[in-house]
Amino acid sequence: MIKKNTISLDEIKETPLRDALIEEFSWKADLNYCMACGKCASICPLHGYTDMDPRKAVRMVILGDEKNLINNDFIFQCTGCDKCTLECPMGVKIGNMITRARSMRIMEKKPGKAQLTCDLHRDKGNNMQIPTEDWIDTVEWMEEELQEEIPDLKVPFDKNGAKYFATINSKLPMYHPMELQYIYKVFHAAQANWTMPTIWWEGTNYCMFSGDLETWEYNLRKQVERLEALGCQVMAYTECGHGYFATLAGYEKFNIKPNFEVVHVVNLYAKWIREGRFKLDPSRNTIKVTLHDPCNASRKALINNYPNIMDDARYVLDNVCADWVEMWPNREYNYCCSGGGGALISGFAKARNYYGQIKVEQIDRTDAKLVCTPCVNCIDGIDGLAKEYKRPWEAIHLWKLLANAIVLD
Amino acid sequence: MSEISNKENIFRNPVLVIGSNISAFEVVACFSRVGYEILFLRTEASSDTLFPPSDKRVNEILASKNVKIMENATLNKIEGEIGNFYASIKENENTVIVRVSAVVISVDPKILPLEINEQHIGGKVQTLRAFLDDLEEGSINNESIGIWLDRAMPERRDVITAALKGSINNIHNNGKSYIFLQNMPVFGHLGQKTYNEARNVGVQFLRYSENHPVFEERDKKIEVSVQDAVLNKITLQAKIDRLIMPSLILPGEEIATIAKIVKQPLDTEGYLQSGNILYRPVSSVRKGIFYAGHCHYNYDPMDARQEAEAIIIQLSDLLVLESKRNPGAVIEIDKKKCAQCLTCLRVCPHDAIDPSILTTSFNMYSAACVQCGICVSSCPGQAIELKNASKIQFEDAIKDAVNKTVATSPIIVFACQQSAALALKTASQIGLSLPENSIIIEVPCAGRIEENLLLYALVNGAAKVIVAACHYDICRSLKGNILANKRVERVKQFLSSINMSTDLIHFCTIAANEPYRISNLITTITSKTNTKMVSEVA
Repeated sequence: MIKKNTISLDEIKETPLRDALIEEFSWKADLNYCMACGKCASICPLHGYTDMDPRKAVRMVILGDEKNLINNDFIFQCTGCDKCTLECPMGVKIGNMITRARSMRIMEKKPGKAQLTCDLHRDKGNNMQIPTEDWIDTVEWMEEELQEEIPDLKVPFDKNGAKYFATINSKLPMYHPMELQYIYKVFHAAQANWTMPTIWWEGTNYCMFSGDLETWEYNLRKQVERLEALGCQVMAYTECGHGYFATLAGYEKFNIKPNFEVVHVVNLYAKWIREGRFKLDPSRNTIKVTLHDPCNASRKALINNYPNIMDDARYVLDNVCADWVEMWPNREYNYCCSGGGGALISGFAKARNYYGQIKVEQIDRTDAKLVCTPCVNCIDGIDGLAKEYKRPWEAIHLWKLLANAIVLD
Repeated sequence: MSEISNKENIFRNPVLVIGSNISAFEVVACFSRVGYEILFLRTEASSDTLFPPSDKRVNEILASKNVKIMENATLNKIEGEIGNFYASIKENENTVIVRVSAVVISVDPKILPLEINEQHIGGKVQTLRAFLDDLEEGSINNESIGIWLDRAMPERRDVITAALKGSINNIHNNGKSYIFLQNMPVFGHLGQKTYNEARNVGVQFLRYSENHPVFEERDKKIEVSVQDAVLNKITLQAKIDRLIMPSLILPGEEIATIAKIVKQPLDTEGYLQSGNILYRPVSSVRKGIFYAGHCHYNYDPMDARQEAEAIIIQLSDLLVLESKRNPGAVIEIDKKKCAQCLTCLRVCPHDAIDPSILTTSFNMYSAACVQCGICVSSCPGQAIELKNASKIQFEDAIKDAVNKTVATSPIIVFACQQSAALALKTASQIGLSLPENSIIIEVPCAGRIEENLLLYALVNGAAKVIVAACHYDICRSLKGNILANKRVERVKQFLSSINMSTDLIHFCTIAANEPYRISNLITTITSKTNTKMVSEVA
């Protein structure tokens, strides 16, 4: 008779999760290096919320007790921040393990709305199901608004041979269309040869959160197709952390070899500032600002050898803000905004607010009123914390600070 | 006083190696390859030895022209010095005396048999050695095995290595391998590689934190239950065909006996390790006596080759230095003062004084002597003099110091040449300033300093005396710093008994790489000094 809290090692016949990880990362050695030192557990923002932690998760996979991990809430409460992977002295890819575990949960049991969003992205071309006509309308509406300030502003749709293919997080046209104006202003002032796509413009990938590998790949390929059809050289990835990471990691995972480069817009801002394309007046941004580093475009990019935005974000702030301060810890040691890993729609709001406390403390200590963070989900996460914990600070995109500081004659 | 030393032969005298296991054979092989003559006292291997030498190695040694093997022979006594030891060896009924240049000890510890009663467990229970033998025979196929690694005592590297290799081989024989353990041992580079290999081929490590694994019979197998250290509310269960329990290993008789013969102490665990870390792992404090393998505890057999090479390098260096040494004794004994009390013999950490002192001629092993001066300062009759650090020399140095510092009285610092003197040299090189009236007098070892010298300094005009010695556990003569400390304490007691301040004398320990610390110390002590001369106050 098997007792409930007993794992019978002889009866474990199949280990699909471990096999999949070995196949992807020739990973057997990697996982076996785990010394159970517990650094991952101690750094994990979820530490203390339940009795689960990354060390236990790895242990379960090592022992072959995979089913219990795949069906555990922990893997969907996980913020996907990868602090565990950064801390691990043996280089075990714990974050990847969690994503893969998510992919093995059956569809019906995936919590929250991440899978739904992923499906909509596939079926409708964007998470918010915005039809193409409505999209074009919204873009043009914001163009008109901005033309009052900048008469010669033009937003080129589907321009063949444009250098930059802009991506946009669908939350913007849906909930914050005004933000689009800052994006236009920056591209315009940089005199960049850019285009706004009419389809496959979505700059996110919720399939990474739900663990749906097939649809993840599909969405990426459709976008690549569109970009290559237009003949653009650079995918200017919008201020969205997970979208950027999911794109680069997805290309690697699914062996997609595009003939263009993916560059995060923060890296573009910095490049353009260095090239002297803007006339900047930092005195236009006087409110004290602090910077939150979005995990996906900072720590996770660093760990996986993709270009990260940490240095460039700071360079831009140096040039556009009169008064900005670092929070602590920062850069790759920063903590999740509380909106990571699909947390905003996973249904685990309590967990989110639990580990969000660290973020609240960090921001409080800076005395800043604005939290600049180049990531849409981080903006929502931080604003969510401000509401929950009744704080006076709010989040702000970097494009807004930059656009504000740009002087056009 | 004469000196036993015959420089021409020291390279041609054989090296004596005593032992039976892999490290002994590795030492013999390495030495003979580079051209040394070896006298190999091959002792009987304990039946349970985990790492017998390979056949290849044994044959190599048997065929070697410069290795002489003596089986059934024991070392009874050894006297002399590096390059020229006289080993008294008993072979069967005869005793021979052989001149050897060095001794390498590589004897086995004692292995205690298993105590567990296997009858109620449902499967085979055996020692690690028996398991490895079965594996080699080829009689294990398709079996699940479990090795309880640290059931009896903290795990030893040789046991771990053997267990890991056995578990790996079992997997290659279509088996499954579990290892139960409480603590993850930390390993060197080679050991870590074995660990990685074990994990990569699928050896499962079941670690428990408090409760020991429980074994029960189930379905004609052994069912083992382990409470996982990480998932602490979860019990892991597996069924194994064979349970392996490494034997208890204790230092044993052979190690204790040979320690007495070479007059070297055992460490607190009962193994042959030198008294301080400077000499570890292969050297003893006595020049020319080396330890290899299991006799110095927690030894990884994969290091056998490196240990052997380390010993060759150290021995060769010592022999070259010895061949270049100027002849002549460096200490002198005034026979009129010597009472033959044997204090110098007992106190010398380097075994540099010949026991023949009981005869009228006093003999010295100059090769072993490092001129620490401990014998000089310990002799109750003050009969010994060290040529390079004599009483007259120190007294003159003290008088010079007093004359030099005309305006104020000197702060005299006796600095050990192994540590404090080096730190002070560095301090002056990097431009750290010392108080003007501080005078450094170098001593070969802090053990050279006796109470009379300290009092002489104070009586003749020193404002203060500082004794700066090596840190504890690092004195090359083992106890020089401890002796110096004791003597400083005695002078303090004396000073307080005559109502004088004990602040007149200080003892501190310094490392050679602490120039800032020593210059700060001297400066601080000096600044608190009222530099009236002691004799005036008295």
